[in-house]
Amino acid sequence: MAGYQILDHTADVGIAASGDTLDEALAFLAKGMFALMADPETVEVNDSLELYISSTDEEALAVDWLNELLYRYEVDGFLPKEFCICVEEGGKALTARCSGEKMDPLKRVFTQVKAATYHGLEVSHNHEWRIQVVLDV
Amino acid sequence: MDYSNILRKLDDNRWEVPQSYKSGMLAPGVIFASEALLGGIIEDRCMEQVANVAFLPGIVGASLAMPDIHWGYGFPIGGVAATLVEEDGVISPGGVGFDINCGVRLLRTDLNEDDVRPKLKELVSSLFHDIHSGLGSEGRLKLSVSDIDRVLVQGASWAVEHGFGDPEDLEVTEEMGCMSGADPDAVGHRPKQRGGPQLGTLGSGNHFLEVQAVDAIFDPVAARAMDIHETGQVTVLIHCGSRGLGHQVCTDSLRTIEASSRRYGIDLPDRQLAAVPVSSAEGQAYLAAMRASANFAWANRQCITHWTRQSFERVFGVSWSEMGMRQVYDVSHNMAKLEDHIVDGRETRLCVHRKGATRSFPAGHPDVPARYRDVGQPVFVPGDMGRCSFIAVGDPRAMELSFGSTCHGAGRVESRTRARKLLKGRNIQDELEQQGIIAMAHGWGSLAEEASLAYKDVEEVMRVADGAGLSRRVARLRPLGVIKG
Repeated sequence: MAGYQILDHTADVGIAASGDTLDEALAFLAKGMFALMADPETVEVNDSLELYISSTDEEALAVDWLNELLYRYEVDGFLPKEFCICVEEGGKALTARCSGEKMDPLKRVFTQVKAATYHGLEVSHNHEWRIQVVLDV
Repeated sequence: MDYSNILRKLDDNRWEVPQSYKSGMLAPGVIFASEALLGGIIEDRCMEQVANVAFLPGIVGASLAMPDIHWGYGFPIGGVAATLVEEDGVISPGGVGFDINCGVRLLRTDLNEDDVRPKLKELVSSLFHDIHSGLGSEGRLKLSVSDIDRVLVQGASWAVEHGFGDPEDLEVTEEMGCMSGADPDAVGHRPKQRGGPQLGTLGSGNHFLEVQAVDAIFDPVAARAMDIHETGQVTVLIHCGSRGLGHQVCTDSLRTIEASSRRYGIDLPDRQLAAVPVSSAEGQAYLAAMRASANFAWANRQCITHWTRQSFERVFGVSWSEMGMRQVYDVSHNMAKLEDHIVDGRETRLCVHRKGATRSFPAGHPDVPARYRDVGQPVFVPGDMGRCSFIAVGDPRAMELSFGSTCHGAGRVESRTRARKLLKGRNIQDELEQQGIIAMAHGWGSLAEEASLAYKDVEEVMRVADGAGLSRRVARLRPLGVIKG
């Protein structure tokens, strides 16, 4: 079933996301990560961001995708809410249009995510796409 | 799986994961733990991670786990691995972690608990105001790119030169607060952009600043060398790292190293362990960027030290030097360092990865500051905000047992999510206050995630470190006030 789930990890936290397509699963993966940081209900849509990411394979693409969003969040204060993703080059690249909020600097988020890691990283495709990533928080 | 059939008991405080456990292990694993701690370690599955680290090419001795070991990503937290610098031994950014040179610094004072108690709330609130903390918090400094480059080269001495602290602080900082071989160009643009504005901030998660009182002294000689004389004496413990700058250096380096490790024919069971030969261009570039990030972290703790002293001055109306607010030591617990150790009777240059582990060099070691040369390098082990923390010193046996390393904390037992669930509805701040501890944080969540029940008992961890010969207990510190991100 398309969506995301937060996984427990002693020191850190994991996200499992699924979707009918890899594009959709990657979108839910990002939604899951940002749900740890802010209540999606409270995030406004007043800004957008376009990204192109190129990686070595599907698994690394998932990690690079999350890390790029974290970087943009910390440097530009861009808190995304909706994602329109198009995976290219057989799962080695993506273009994304993200819409969300240029954050009010006074707004506090719940949890700071330092990075997405390669540990326990899984991308699988049976009847649906499933991605699992462990985050360092 | 029943791990008790796999682990071989070496002695009361050491358990071996045999090299035969997994095909591809190049050395055995050794876990420092008592029977009491072992249960939790097995349940946490971090033994698997100890075994995976033993796949690193050039690993010497064993893949080691300190008594506060818990499940990490790639390396376990509390993992130590030494690899050959020559003969294609590798360096792994995952063996340092995202928070490069996360570490702890201790300040001692001439104040007594009785002096501080009446003004404790005011003091904690002043520290909370002066030292920015929390998620992505920005500091009080506005630095240009060339300023940041100087911080990356000079470390803590940049801060002292700019009026943040005392030259004496540098003498009691690991590496004098500045690692040579740091290259700001190796850091690149993105980490500077992400972390530059955060210099002088605590950050969030398990980072904190704690006002404490000495609760017990176990080794009066070593305590005296640190200017710690009696119970009730007030100390300040600062725990933080290299902020967004270090996080981005690790992210960027891992991306490069993960992509190139296969080119060197390195095949590892966990992609987060990605490694390249220390001598390779990628390995050297990572070391130069890691050292620059380490310098950023030392400058960070140096600025925080300065503002801590200013807060005390404002609250007590006396200068910091009159209050005797001198630095005891500053030690890193996320780092890879090139060190000389005796291997098979020969002095050998090793790359010692300490991921959530503290260097613990013994008395007489040339890298121990002159003032501690007779007692050993000070080690600080924070417990949790409701219980206690420890001061220890390096034990000579640690050089043989753990490449001069010991534990770095209590070690988590409950995930952050579970800690929040278990404490739902409880007023943690009030509960701490009933215990006499004033805590300030940016939200209920950060207090819940760091509550005592989320951690192992640091007393048991320290007992094992002591019994095994990794470090010797000097004093116990109990919290009076704490600020958290």
